[in-house]
Amino acid sequence: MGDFLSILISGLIMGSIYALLAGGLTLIWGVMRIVNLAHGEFLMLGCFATYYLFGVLGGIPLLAIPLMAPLFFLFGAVLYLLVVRKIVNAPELMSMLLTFGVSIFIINISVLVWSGEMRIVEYLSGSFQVGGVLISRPRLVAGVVAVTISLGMYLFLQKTRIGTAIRAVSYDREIAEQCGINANLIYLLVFGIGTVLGASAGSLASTIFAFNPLVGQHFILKAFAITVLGGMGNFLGALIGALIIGVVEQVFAYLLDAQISAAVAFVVIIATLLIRPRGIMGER
Amino acid sequence: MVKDILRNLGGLGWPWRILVILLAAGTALFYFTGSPYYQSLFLAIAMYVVLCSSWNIISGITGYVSFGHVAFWGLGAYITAVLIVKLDFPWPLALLSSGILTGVFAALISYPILKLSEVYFAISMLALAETVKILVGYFRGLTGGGGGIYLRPLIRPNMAFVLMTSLALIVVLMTYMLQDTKFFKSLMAIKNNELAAGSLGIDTTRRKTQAFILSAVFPALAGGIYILNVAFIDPKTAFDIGITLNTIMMTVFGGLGTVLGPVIGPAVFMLLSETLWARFPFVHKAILGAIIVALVIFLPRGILSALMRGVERLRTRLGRAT
Repeated sequence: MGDFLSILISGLIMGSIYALLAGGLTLIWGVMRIVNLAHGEFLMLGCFATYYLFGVLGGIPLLAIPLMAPLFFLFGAVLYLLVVRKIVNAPELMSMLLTFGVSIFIINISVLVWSGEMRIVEYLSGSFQVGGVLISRPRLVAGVVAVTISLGMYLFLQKTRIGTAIRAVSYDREIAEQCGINANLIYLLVFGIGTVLGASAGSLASTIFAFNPLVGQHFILKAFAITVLGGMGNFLGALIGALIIGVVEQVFAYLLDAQISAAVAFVVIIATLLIRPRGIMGER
Repeated sequence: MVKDILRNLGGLGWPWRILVILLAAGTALFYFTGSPYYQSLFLAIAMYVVLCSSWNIISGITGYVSFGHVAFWGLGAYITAVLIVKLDFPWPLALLSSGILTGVFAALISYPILKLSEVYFAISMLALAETVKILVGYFRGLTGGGGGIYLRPLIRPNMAFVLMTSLALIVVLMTYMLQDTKFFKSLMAIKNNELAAGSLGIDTTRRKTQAFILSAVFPALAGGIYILNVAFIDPKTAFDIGITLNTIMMTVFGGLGTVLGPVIGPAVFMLLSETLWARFPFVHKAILGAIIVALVIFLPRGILSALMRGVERLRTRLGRAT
C-alpha cells in the first residue's frame, strides 16, 4: 500500500511537470492553430537559464522562474514577430515545418554554445517519509510549484478579462475581433505565455533530471501525446491528460520496466483516441 | 490497380521512356565507374526519394499527414536483419519478406488508426513509431535491444546503390502510372472531403487502407537495403524522428501531392545539406534550420510550383515582348 501510494504521488508529480509543458502547447494550438515543435526547446532554454541564474545567485533555483519569466516572454514575443506570425492559421503542416526549423536552429546553436555535456541543478537532495510513503524532496517542491502555476494559468484564462479574450479568439477569431478584441495582440500574448510555461517546466525539470541541449526532444513527444489525449486546445484537458500519463508511466515502470512504461503511455493515448477521437475533453 | 499500372506503362510518353532509360543507363554506368562517395550520396538521395514518394501517397495525395513514417523504414530494416541473423534467410528473400511483413503490419494497424483524422492521426502515427521503437529495444533476445543488431557485410556498396536507385525509380514510376487511375482519384476525393467522397460511392475505408499499405511497403524495402549496406542498426537510428521530419520537409519543399515533388525535394535538400556540411561543419545544421524557416515563409507551396510560376511569368513576359 505504501509502495502504491508513493508511486501514485511520484506519478502525479511527474504529471504536473508534463502539464506545464503541455499546457503551453495546447494554448498555442488552441488559439493560433500552430503545432509548436519548438516547444521542447523552450523547456531546454529554461533548464539552462535556471542553471546559470542559480549558479550566479546561489540559493533557491525556483526563484529563477519569476526572474526569467519576463525574459522568456520577450523571447517568445520576438520569435512571434519575426517568424511565427507568418503561419498563424496556416495548414498544420506548415506550422509544424516552420517550428521544426526553429527547433533545429535553437538546438544546434545551443550545442555550439554549451556542448552536449550533461548538467543538473543540484538542490534539495534526498527524500522524506510520511506514514510509510517515501517522497523525494526536489520532486515534491517541483510538483507543488508546477501545480500552482498550472492552476493559476487556468484561473487566469477563466476569470480575467484578458483570459476571456484569449478564449474568445480561440473560439472564433472573426467574431472576437468584431467584439473589439485585437486578435494579433492576443496571438503575441499567447505565444509569449506559452514560451514562459515551457521555460518554467524546464526550470523545474532541471532540478530533477540531468539535461543537455537535446533534452527538449525527450519531452516534446510526450507533451504532444498529452495535448492530443486531453483534446487539442483544451487547457484543462491537457492538465488531466498529463496527470493520467504521469501516473500510468510510474505504475508500469514499477510493475514492468522503466523502458516499457513509455510505450504503455503511448498505447494508452492511441487507445483513448479510438474511444474518443478528439481527446478526453474534446468536443464531439 | 496492377492492371492500371501495366496499361499505363504501355502508354508511357516518349520523354518519360527516354528519361527512364537514361536514368537506368546512368545507374548502371555509375555502378561500375562512380566513386564511392558519389555512390553513397546518390544512395542517400534515392532513399529519401523512396521515403518521400511513399509518404506522399498517404499524406500528400490522401491528406492523412503521418508523423510516424520512419516506423516502416525501421521495421523493414529490423525485419531484414532479424530474418538474416536468426533464421538464416538469404538476403534477397529477407528483403522481400520485410516488405511483405511490414505491409501486413500496416494492414493490421490501419483499422484503428485510420479512423482518426488531422492532427490526431498525425500524432498517433508519431506515438506508433515511438512505441515500435521502445518495443524493438525491449525484446533483446530477438533484436539485440538498445545495443543494436549487426550483420556481416552481404552486399557491396555499389550493389546497394543500384538496389536503392532502382527502388526509387520503381516508386516514382508507379506513382506516375497511378496518377490518373480511379484509385488515385478516389484518394484525392478523400483528401478534399471524405464524407462527400463516401456519399459518391467511394469505399473510403478500403481506399485509405490500400493507400496506407502501399505507403508502408516501400520504406520497409528501403530500410532493408539500408541495413544490408550499413550492416548495423539500433533502435535510435531505425526510428529516429528526424527521418520522418526530413521526409516531410523534403516532400513539402518539392511539392506536396505531386509526382516529381518528392524527387526534386530530396535531391535539392541533400545536395544543399552536403554543401553546407562541407563548408560549415559546425553550424550547418543551424543554417539548415534557418533555411527551412525561410522556405516555409517564402516558398510555402514548394520548389516545383515556384519554378512553374517563374516559367509562367517568363513566358508571359516573352509573349509580350515578341
